[in-house]
Parts: sequence; structure tokens; C-alpha cells
Amino acid sequence: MASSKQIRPSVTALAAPASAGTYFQTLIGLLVAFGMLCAGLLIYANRDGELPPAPLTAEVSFNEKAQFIRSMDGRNFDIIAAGSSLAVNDLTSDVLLEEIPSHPSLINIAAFGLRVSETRLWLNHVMRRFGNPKLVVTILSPQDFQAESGWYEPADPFLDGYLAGKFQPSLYFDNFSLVTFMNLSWHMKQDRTSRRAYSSLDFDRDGGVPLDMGFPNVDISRWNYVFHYSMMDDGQYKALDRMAGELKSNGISLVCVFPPTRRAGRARENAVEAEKYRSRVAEILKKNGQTLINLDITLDLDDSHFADYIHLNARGAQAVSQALGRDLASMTALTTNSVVPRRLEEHR
Amino acid sequence: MALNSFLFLLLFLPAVLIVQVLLQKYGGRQWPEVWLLAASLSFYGFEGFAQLPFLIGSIVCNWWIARMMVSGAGEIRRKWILQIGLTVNIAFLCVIKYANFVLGSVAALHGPQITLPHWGPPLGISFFTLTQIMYLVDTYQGLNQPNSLLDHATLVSLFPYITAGPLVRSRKIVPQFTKFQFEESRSERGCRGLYLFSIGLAKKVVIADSFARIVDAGFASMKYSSTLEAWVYTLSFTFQIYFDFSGYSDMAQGAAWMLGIDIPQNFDAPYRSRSITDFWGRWHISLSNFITDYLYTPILRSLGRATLATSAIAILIAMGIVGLWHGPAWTFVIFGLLHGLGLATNQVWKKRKLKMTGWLAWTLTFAFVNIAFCFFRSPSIPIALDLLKAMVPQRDLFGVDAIRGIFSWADAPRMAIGVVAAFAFQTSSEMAASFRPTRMAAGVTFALIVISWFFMGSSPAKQFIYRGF
Repeated sequence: MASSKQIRPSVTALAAPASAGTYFQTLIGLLVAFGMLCAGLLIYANRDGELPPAPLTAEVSFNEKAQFIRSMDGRNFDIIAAGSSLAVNDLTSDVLLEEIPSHPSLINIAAFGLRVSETRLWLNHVMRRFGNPKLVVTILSPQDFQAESGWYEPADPFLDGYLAGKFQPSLYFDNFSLVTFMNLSWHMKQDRTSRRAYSSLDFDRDGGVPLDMGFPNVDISRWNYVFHYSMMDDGQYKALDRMAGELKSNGISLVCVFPPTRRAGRARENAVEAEKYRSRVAEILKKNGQTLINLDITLDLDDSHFADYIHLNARGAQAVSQALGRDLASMTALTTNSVVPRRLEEHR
Repeated sequence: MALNSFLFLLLFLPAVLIVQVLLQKYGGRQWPEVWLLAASLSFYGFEGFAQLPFLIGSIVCNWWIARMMVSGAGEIRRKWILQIGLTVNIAFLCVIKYANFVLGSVAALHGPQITLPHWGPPLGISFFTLTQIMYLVDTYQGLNQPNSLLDHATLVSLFPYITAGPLVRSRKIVPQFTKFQFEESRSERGCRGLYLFSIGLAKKVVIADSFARIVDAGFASMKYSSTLEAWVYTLSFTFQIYFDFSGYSDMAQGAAWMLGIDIPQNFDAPYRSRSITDFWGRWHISLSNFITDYLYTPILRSLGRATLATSAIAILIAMGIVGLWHGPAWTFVIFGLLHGLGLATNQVWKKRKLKMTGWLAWTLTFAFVNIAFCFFRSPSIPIALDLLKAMVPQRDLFGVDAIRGIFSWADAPRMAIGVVAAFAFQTSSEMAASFRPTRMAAGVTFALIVISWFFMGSSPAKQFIYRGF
């Protein structure tokens, strides 16, 4: 065993001239100048709409949505639309609410890439802040049932405080990344003002983003994408079961929607696995006394309604919102009547 | 609180330094030390208040045992008290950290299935327990006087090294609490400390973390890797752990210098070693010293006459224990035993005065270290074996399908700098040694801090690897 070979500064040789003051003055001067430059950039970015949202997670769409919800200032909502990008892009709240005579209020808390388990946690945070809604609507796709990506941390301890409008410096101490901040700043303004990209965060009044794009102005790999059911995670079904049960026990209705899919895509997917997925979701909802609406059966949309293999564009979102609004109009939770939606009955 | 967190850098460290300087100037003789202890316990308690009783209990217990040992007792009684002290420390470590591992291993041999409630071991338990074992042994041997409770608590809990070392000896550290022992001025030592700290910070957040993405994905499963990918995964970890741990050690030493305290250097360009013995003289030096003085030598003595065979046995036992010290897993034990085997082989080699050209010796040493790290990083032995199997040339030699999805070109320049810096140029200690507090040095420090800031807080890796131990 070797003994350590320590390199020590030879103190006498290194006895530097007494210029520690120069060193500190220079360093502090540089840091102050740099700090002022950063502050100036922050002020500019904020004025110009380029300032990214607080770094709650590593996913900007979630952070932006959290910022959006925070600005709602604790209002109560009758309907919460939750889920992943499908719920962001496939719902046009104006159209949906027009179909419901009781004129309920709605907030769309969905964010890109959220899995079912993450949606459940996120929903709990939102309900702690805004109180219980009458109804939770979520649009489901098999992607929502993949294993968690790890980019989201919807159970983050900062979320409750953030939604309540608290200033939490440690949120920035823990999560701030200059690289991420700068990357985001480049396209924040564009994402907030245009709906011509999949990454758009140009929320409508209630938090949805109907996309202003369609074939052939699409990403062709997304247009032709085929989902592989081998990527499904069993834990996500359990999360759905848990969420449906928890909502039920709190007297909240859950409506899950299978959105319309492109005919070409449907033809290419693994039909057996797709059916297994749909049956399992239906079973879970039935067990918990919650509702499933299968618009994939009842709403046959052509390619002009789509932005990619599954996400709808504004035209598709309008069609889905209309159909869904009609179904929700008859829901017990939103009316005094107790009528089961026609399509639900058909599905059962 | 990690040394690379914004909270530590922007609030904790500046606040501690400012108050420390004021107390040194205007306070009494002991107030700076009291402040250091309070700051260190706050630093530790920040991780979880529930962990503090373990640390404080361990400190008080060892302080009391050392006092008992020197309280005019006879030699037999002193030895007896030392043995009790060592047993208490080892039992403390075993119960807290290894109980479930031992029970799980027994159950695997068709024993009874017993599982204790799972609790995370207190932060830095391996480090503060070894520090106190050294203290007790040194006190028994008369190498240091028993500390006052204040001195002992400050020695054990000092925030620069409580979480991940280096391991320190009481007689080197305690006198520095009340007397500044550097020949240069406090402010110059502070500048040098800040300079070393900024180098360590850059090593961690700029270089080490750039390898993390590949390492995390690569070690999760090795089933479909080509030979090239397997080597990329293992080499990535080899560089990641070096820059992570040596970066931490530089930060710890730099922070200690800013406080006016000298702590041991822990790394000295280990990947330039030409033998495993040489490697352990440069890698985790404070642990290496501990192994030599407190494990290997006593074990060798207990085996009777020192021969090549008994020496090899002592090394294997010592390194096996050190492997296990890293964590309750057989992968760590294998890592330790492999290094023990390497050290024993090196002893035989030297005894027989065999020669090897420099480049071959370096290549073999580096390859051996790299292979041993496979076990260190792998979550299980089967994954480590899969990895080793994949590293042997096979049908798929140069496939990159698996790595294509995880490799980011944005990380490539940082990785390249790391690879070059591990083998060439000055080490951080050499840079700190040649430091002079000039405007240029201030500019370099500023650049390192700003560049590090660019990468701080970003995924994928934030924590230091050795914090887990």
C-alpha cells in the first residue's frame, strides 16, 4: 500500500505579494458587472415576453401551465380538463362550454407529456388550491400509459406554494439552470404567440392550445408515427384506477375520452394490443363508476382535422369539443338531470 | 445542502465566511470555533433534522470514550475501552447501514426472511465514523490528546468534509481551530481557497455531469450493447466519478482554506498511475492512508510474520472491508477485492523486480481500474457481468444504436476536456499551489464560476456520487 504523496503549496515560495485585495476587488467587480448584465437581460426578457416560467420541473410546458393556473388566483371551476398534450390541443373551451346550457366554468391544466400517474398528482395539487370541481375530463392516448419519463416532478414540494402565489427563493436555488433558461428564452416569445408549432404555449382563455397547422405543413415523422404498445407501463393503469377511485370518493365525476385517431394510423397499429388497452381502461372506469366516451368510434374525422398522427388541429379540436360538450351537457354533475351520455351507453 | 447548490454558494458559504471573519477580528478566542460548529450542524441538519441526533450521539459517545481512555487508567483498561469504542462505532455503522444487507444475504442462502424497516443512513455516516475511529486509535496510541467536546464536535462535523470526506486526523485539524497555521496571510489563503473551490466546482458541474447521461442510461441495462458502447459506458463512469469526487474534494479543501483550515488533499491525478499501488497513492488518498494505518497494518500484524502471502491476505481483507465500506452491496465488495488482488499482484511483481515499459504499465493499470469500476457502478452483479461480457470483442463491435439516443453533441466538448485533463496538464492542486492573487487569477476564477453557473441546476446529475456513501 502506498503512502499518500501529498502536494502541498510550498508556502514560502508562494508567499504572494499582498494583493489579495486586488484579487477580491477584481473578482467582485466582475461578478457585480455580470450580475447587472444578467439583471438587465432579465428585465428586457420580461418586457419582451421571453422570460421563461419558474423552473418547477425540467419541462417548460408544465411550468408555463403552472404559471397560467397561478394567475387564476384561486377561482373555483366546475370542470377541470387534465392530461397530456391531447387535452391541451384537442379541446377548445369556448366551443365546448357553448354546448353546455348551465354555462359551467372550466380550466385546462393539461401539459405536454404527462403520464396518468403524473396527471393524478398534478390534479391533486390543483384541487388543493382551487377546491374540488364537479367534473374532471381527460383525453387519453396510449402514450399517457408509458412509464414516467422522470422529467416531471408533479409531486414537487414547491408546487403548492407556487400555485398559492408564494415567492419561494429556494425553488430557484434548487432548480435554476442558466443553460435551460437561455435555451428557453430563444423561443419563449414565439411559443407564446403562435400556434403554428407543436410546442406552442399560446393558451386560450382557459388553457387549451388549438393548433393552427395541418397537412402538409406538419412534421412528417410525427404524421406517420405508429405507437408501439410494448412501451406501456402497468403502473399507469393502476394510477388511473387510483385516480378514478379517489375522485369518486370525493364525489367528483371523471370523464375519460378516447379521441378520434387518423384512419391511416389506425390501420397500421397493433389492433389486438390497441383493443386490450381500450378494454382495460373501460374496465377500470366501469369498476369505479366513472365515465368513458369513445369519440374514436363516433367521430370519424378526416386528415384535415389532424396536426400529426394523433393530435388534432383547431378544426379537429372544434369538432371534438362540440361532440364532447353535447355529451357533458347531459352529465349529472353539470345538470339536474341524470342522463347517461348516449355514446357512453353505446360503449357499455 | 450540497457544496454545488446555489443555496450553499450564494447564501451559506458567504454568510459563514463573513461572520467568521468578524468573530476572528472582534470575538473572543473560542467564538469563531463555536460559530463554525453551529454553521456545520446547521449545514448537516439542513439535510433532515432527524439525522442530527445520530451525528450528535456519535460525537458525544466518542468524545466520552476518549476521555475515559486517558483518565489515568491502566494499559489493560485503556485497551479494553478502545476495543469497546471500536466495537460501538463498527456496530453503529453496521446496524444503521448494513443490517438489511446482512439479513438479505443470509436469506439468500435459504436462511430466515427477516427485513428491518428501511431507513436511509444519516448523511456522511461512513466518513464521520471512520474519522472517529482514527481519533480513538490515535488517542490510545498517544498521538493526540483527548479533545474538548467543542473541539471534537467541530472536528467531526466541519461542513466542508462531513458529507464526503476527506478523512481527517484530529491532531492535524484541531489545533487550527484556534490558531491560523498557514505562513501566508488569511486573505491570501482565502483567495487560494476560492480559486481551488472554483476549479472543483467546474470539475463537478461542467465535466463530471457531462458524462452522467450516458452512464445512467448505460448502466441501467447492458443487454443490447456493442463492444464499443460497453467501453464508452464504463469509460464514461471512470471519468465521471473521478471528476465528481475530485471536484468535490477540491471544493471541500478550498472551502476549508477559506475558513483558514488546512485539510488533506484527496486526489493526485490517479489516472496517470502506472501500477495499482501507485493508483491508491493518488486516489482517495485519505482513505488510502486509513487503509494502510488502521486496517492493513493491524491485520498484517495479527497474522504474525510478514511474508508475501500474509501481506496478500491482509491486503485482500483490508480492501474487501473498504469495498463494503462504500455501501451495502456485493458489487462494492467485489470492487474492493479486485483492487486487493491488483495490489497483491503488484507486491509480488515488485518483490520479484520484474520490469514493464511505462506505457504498457499505464495501459494495464487504467484498464484494470476501469473494469473494477464496472462493479462499483453496476446496480447488480449480473449487470456488471453483462457489461464485462459486452466489453470483450464480439459480433457487434462498433454498433452505436443504443448510445445514439442518449449521446448529446452538446456534452461532447466538456467530455473531451475531461478526458484530456485527466491525463495531461496541471492538476487542480498544482494549479492552486502556483496560484498568485493577481487580476488574471481573479479573471480565471470569475470565468470558472460563470461557466459552472451555466451548468448548475441542469439535469441529469446534481448530487455528488460519494454523498451516497
